[in-house]
Parts: sequence; C-alpha cells; structure tokens
Amino acid sequence: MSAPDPDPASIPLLFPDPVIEFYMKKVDRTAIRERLKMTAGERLEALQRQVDAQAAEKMVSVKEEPPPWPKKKGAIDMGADPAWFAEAKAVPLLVADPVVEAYLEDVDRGLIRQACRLSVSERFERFHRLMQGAYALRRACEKSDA
Amino acid sequence: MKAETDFPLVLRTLAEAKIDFIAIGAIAAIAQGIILTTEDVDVVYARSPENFERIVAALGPFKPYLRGAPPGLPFQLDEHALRNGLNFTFETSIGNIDLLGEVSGGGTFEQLKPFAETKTAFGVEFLSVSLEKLILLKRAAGRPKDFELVARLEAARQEKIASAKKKRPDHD
Repeated sequence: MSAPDPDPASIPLLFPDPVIEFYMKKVDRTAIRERLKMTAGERLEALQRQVDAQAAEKMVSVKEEPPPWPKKKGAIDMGADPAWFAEAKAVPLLVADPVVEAYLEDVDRGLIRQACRLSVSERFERFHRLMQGAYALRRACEKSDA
Repeated sequence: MKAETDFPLVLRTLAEAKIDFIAIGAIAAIAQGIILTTEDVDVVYARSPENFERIVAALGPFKPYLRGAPPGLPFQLDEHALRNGLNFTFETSIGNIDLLGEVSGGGTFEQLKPFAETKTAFGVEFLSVSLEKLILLKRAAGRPKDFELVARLEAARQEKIASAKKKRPDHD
C-alpha cells in the first residue's frame, strides 16, 4: 500500500509572507483542484460561463428607469460667444479617437470654461465644498437607512 | 459609515513631510479645471529610501491599511513594505490615499516629473501632472469609465488653446 499523498496546504510557500498566508486561508482549494483537472480550453469555457452568469445577474438587478426630469433637448447655452465655442471645438484632439469624440458631444463646455476662469486654489475650494455636500448627503442617507 | 477623505489635510500632510510626489487622477484633473467628485488622492511617489522614510513618518500616525482588504490582515506600513511593494491603495484616518510607484503611460516619479507643474491648493504647493500628460495617462489606463473624463480633459485643453489664441486674461 502506498503512503497517502501529502496535504498540499502543508507545502511551504515559495516566498513565506504572513499577508499571503492570510489570503491563502480563504482560497477555495476544491475549486482549484476541479480547474486543474480541466484542459486549458475547458477552463476558458468555464470562465466564460461564469462571466455570462454574472452579466445575466447584473442585467436582472439593474432596472432601467427614465429619469424624473425632462429629457435635455440640447446643449445648455451658457450665453458665451458662439464663435469661441466653434473655435475651441475646432482644436484637434491630443489623441484622435472616435469614442472620445462621441463623449465630447455631451461635455458641458460652459462649466469647464467657468472652472478655467477660477484660480487653482478656487477650483479646489469649490471641489472641497462639493465633497462636503456629497459626504453630508451620504451620511444623511446612511442615517435614514439605519 | 464609509471613510471620508479630508483632502486639505491629506495634501498638507504629504507636502509638509516633503514627500516627493506628483498628483495624478482626479486631483490633477481638478487642478486643470475639471470639477468632479472623488473619494481618494492618487499620487505617484519617488521610490528612494529617503522618501520611504518620509512616507512612513507622515502617514504612519494615520493608521494606513490596505483598502478593501479584510480586517485583521497583518499589514504594517514601514520601509520594508514600501520597498517590497509598488502600488498601494490605503485607507487612513484622514481618507483614501493611493501611492503609486509606477503608473501606466507615465512610468515612475522621475519619468513623470518633467511633465509635472507646481500647483497651489488649500495653501499647499505640490506637483501635479500636466493636462496633456493626464490625458495620456487616462488613455493608457484604458478603463471604460475614463473615456468620459478624457473627453472633459480634451475639452478643457481645446478651451485653453482657444482662449490662449484670443489672449483672454481670465484663463490660465
């Protein structure tokens, strides 16, 4: 009768590290063993099935609802010089990319122009106030949920 | 309750400790004229022994811990940990700080420094990556969520170039 196989968990790490050891306690060894029995192609198929299942789950959990406000008809006119808008839009992108160009259509240039008129310090003061408001809102939500 | 980042205190802590760092990410975007929300301060830091010492001395009192890691992990911020690691995402008692030794499209602190500009915020002077380099960094990151920010950064760049042509004094 042959000797029983050693417990793989008892094999010393290549680089002993308490942090890695901590994470290793959480590793699902059964799943790893199952995967090791598969061919590379079967592993990829299993991974694809897992990704598809996660995507399907996400689709179910995310319910698309129309926003409560009326749909925006077009870019907000900030009352700025339209010639300047055209001039800015004519500046070629640093890296030409149709995806970025598509996103660029929805960028609120008025807001950027206003922020550019501020000093760097003023931009950060506004950002700080914005974050304080966001944090206060989040605290209020957490309090109401509790 | 989720951690809240005290942005003035984080920047002051890093700057007053004379840590060699360059702000990237949202902080750099704000410096360039994009107002957005963020939960953390992303910086590229110099990987020199002196800088490791400064980082440990400055952030140590704020109990840095690996963000998202389960509680109880035997992690301690010291020079050994910094030397053996590269990119760290910390949660601290003053907020979330991401220390990056290297960044896609930008490389190390030394490689990024020629593309950095001195900015002042909350009374603190610090280095922040230029608008053009920030666009390239965000593109190199290649995350879908970055496309919207790249578009806003590109728009800011177009606006600045257009205003420079008109020599408008109210734009930087």
